[in-house]
Amino acid sequence: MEDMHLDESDIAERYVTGRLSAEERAGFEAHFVDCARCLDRIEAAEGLRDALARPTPPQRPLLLRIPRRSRPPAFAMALAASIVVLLGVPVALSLRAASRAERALDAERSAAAQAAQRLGDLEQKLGGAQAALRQEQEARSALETQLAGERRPQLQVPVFALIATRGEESETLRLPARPQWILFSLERESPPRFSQYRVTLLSSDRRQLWQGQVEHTSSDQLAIGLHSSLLPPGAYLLQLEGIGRAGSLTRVAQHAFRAVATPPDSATHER
Amino acid sequence: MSSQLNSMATSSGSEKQSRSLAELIRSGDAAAEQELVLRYSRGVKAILRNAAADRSVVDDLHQETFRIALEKIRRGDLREASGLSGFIASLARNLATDYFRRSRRPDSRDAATLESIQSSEAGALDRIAAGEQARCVRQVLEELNTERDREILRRFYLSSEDKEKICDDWGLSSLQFNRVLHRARERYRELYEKATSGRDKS
Repeated sequence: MEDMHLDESDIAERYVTGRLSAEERAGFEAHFVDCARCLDRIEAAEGLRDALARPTPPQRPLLLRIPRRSRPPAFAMALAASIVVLLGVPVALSLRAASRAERALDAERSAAAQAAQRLGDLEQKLGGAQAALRQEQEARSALETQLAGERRPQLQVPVFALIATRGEESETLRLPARPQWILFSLERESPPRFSQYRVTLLSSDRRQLWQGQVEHTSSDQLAIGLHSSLLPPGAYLLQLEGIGRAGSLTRVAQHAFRAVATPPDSATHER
Repeated sequence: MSSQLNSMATSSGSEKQSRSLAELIRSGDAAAEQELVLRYSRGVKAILRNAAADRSVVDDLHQETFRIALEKIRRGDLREASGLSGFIASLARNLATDYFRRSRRPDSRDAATLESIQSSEAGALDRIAAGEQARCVRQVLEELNTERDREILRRFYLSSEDKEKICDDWGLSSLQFNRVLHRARERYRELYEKATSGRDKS
């Protein structure tokens, strides 16, 4: 990776502000998860974003302070006393009025600061809600893409004819490399006794992965469609039970198999 | 851009380390498991923070990511050991997306978001950190050369406007724009590290 190039890039900023596409974001995450320099950049960009989003605390209004002298000169005291005597009550009233006006002004400033604070809070919440909405849209878009893929007609569906196994016997199924629908073909009991069957798919530790009811496909076959994503490499057991008229279950057969992934060219099974 | 990102993801120079780390974990080496957590913890948290605002969710998903990652590596589910970074990053992102999908309904989304913002603001330490962040960002803004640079920073971080539009409005090239972001980010980092190291010492 070229660090000089990344220094000049805005990828960390675009990442923390949600401006990368899903593909770009995945590529960048796969890189920076193990890159201390990029993590430094991301954390700095996050700090900058958070601090900018936070409302700035209101600054206190500057008060004009007149320095006091510890000992006023005598002539000044005399002059002040004379002014008080001469101007008397009217000046005192004016000072009171000025004081009231100053208090009202302070109250207005305080209210304005609170309003600014509230506005900042709301802007921050709006930013958070917008980020959450973006994430939801991305998740939805990913789901839609997945759904569109699933809806595409599948022209080549691998079919695996499973034969009943006993004891330690097991078949090996080479599943397609890409997840897709596959078809299992199972033999019915001879002569056929049931029209409905319960099929159970178990993992090697006997955990139930899937269960469903099927009807016979032909006089001697049952067909079950499964998505290969249900079968990561490992050992499995497919149990087939016949459902009687009263709902009673009778074991018909079991099919032990091992799923392995194959290169994209072929999907086969072997014994 | 995507080819640049792909090359970044695969040419980090630590592929050999990743491969041997995954192999050691698979062979049951507990020290290798600890090393994996130490090595990827910070990156996983960054991904989860990006996906979910709530800190308690990040902590929970962080633990869950490593629990599942170690389980899969031990089982040998990681096909390409050299893709360890991509595997862990994608696991963290998927867990966060899945959590989001399960826990939120569209109509309760705004309320949940606001709650998470409120809860994330709690705590004296958070308030101290927030105060330091605010001081640092004020200084960064004051030190920027022009009002134009300050405005660019605000618009880029606080609005969802396209970078191209901001560049057009100010007659800037993409490189000039990136330099403004780069200078601000590096200066902020420097100031914040200085402020937090002072606090740690005291």
